[in-house]
Amino acid sequence: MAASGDILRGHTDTIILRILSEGDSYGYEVAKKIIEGGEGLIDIKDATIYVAFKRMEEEGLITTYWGDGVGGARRKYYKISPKGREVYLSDIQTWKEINRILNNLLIGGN
Amino acid sequence: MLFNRFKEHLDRQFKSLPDSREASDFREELLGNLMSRAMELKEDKSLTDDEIYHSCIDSLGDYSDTLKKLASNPIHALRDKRFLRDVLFMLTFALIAVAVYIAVSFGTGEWGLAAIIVFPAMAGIIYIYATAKVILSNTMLNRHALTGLIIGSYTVLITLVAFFVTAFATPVGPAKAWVLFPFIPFFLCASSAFTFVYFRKKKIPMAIILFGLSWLSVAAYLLVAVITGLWHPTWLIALGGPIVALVAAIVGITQKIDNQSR
Repeated sequence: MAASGDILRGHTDTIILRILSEGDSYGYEVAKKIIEGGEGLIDIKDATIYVAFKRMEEEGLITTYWGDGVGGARRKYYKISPKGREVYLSDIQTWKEINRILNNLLIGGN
Repeated sequence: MLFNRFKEHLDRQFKSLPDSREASDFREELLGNLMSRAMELKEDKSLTDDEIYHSCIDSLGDYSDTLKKLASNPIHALRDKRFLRDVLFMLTFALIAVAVYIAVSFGTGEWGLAAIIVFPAMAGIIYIYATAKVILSNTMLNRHALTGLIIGSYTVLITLVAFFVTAFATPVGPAKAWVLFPFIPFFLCASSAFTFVYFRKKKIPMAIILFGLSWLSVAAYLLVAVITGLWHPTWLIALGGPIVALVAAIVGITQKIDNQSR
C-alpha cells in the first residue's frame, strides 16, 4: 500500500533537505532513498521531486550543478545551501513539537 | 536502445515547448534520471528492455503542470524560434492573400466579389492549417482538451455555409433554411463523441449520448415540420430521441450493475 500523498504532504521539502544534508544527490537517487525509507508505504514520482527541487532552489535552500552522467545522459546534482541547513534545523524543531502535541492528542497519557 | 527510446519519448513531450534553457535543463535532468534508473534495473537480468522502459517512464509521474508552466512563460515564448517562425509565416501569408486579391481583382475587374471570395478562402486555409497543427500536437502529447472543440467548430462553419447557400442561392430561402441551425448542438455532441472514441480511445460519456440523441430528435422534428408544414402531430418525433436515449441509459446502467455484482 502506497499512500505517499497523505504521508508526505507538507514534509517533502524537509525530507529532501535531510537527504541532501548527508551529501549532494540527484533526482533519481533522492526518490530512491525516499521510497526505500518509506518501507513500502511511500511512493514518490520524479515529477513531485522536481517540483520540490524547483521551489527549494527559488527559495535559496539548495543549489545545483551538472555532474557526470550515465549512459550518455548528464545528472543534475543538488546541494543544500547554508540557508537550507537553517531551514532544515528549524523544520525539525517544529516537527518535534508538533509530534509531541499530536502524541498527546492521539495517544494521551501526558 | 533505451537511451534513444527515452530521448524520443521526451522529444514528444517537449515538442510544443519553447527552446528555453529552463525547458532544456528539465528535459536533460529527466533523461539523466531515466538513464540512472534504467542502468540500475538492467542489473536485474530478469527484466526485458521493454519492461525497463515502461517502469522508468512510469516513475516520472505526471509532470504536465511543469510543462504547462514552461510553455506559458511569455518571455520564453517570444524568444522561441518556432514562435518567430510562426509570426513570419503569418505575415507572409497575409501578404500573399493581399497579392492574390489584387491579382484576381485586376484580372476580373470584380473588386468587391474578389474580396468576398479570396479573403474568406485564405482565412479558411490558415484555419485548417492551424487547427490541423493543434490536433497533431494533441495527438502526439495525448491531450485532447481542444480536439473536440476544433472538430465541432468545423461542423458549425459547415452549417453556416450550408445555411447561406440554402438561404440565398436556392429557392428555399432564409424563412426555411434557419432549420439547419438547431442541428449545431447535435453536431457538437457528435464531434465530442468522435473525439472520445477516435482520439481518446474511451467510451462516450452517457451525458453526451443522452443530450445528443434528445437534441437530434428536436432538430429532426423542426426539419420535418418546416419541410412538410405539419407542426402537429409531427412533434411526436421530438419525443423519440429522449425515449431512445433513456432506454440506452437504462440498458447501460443495468450492465454496470450486473458487472459490479459479479
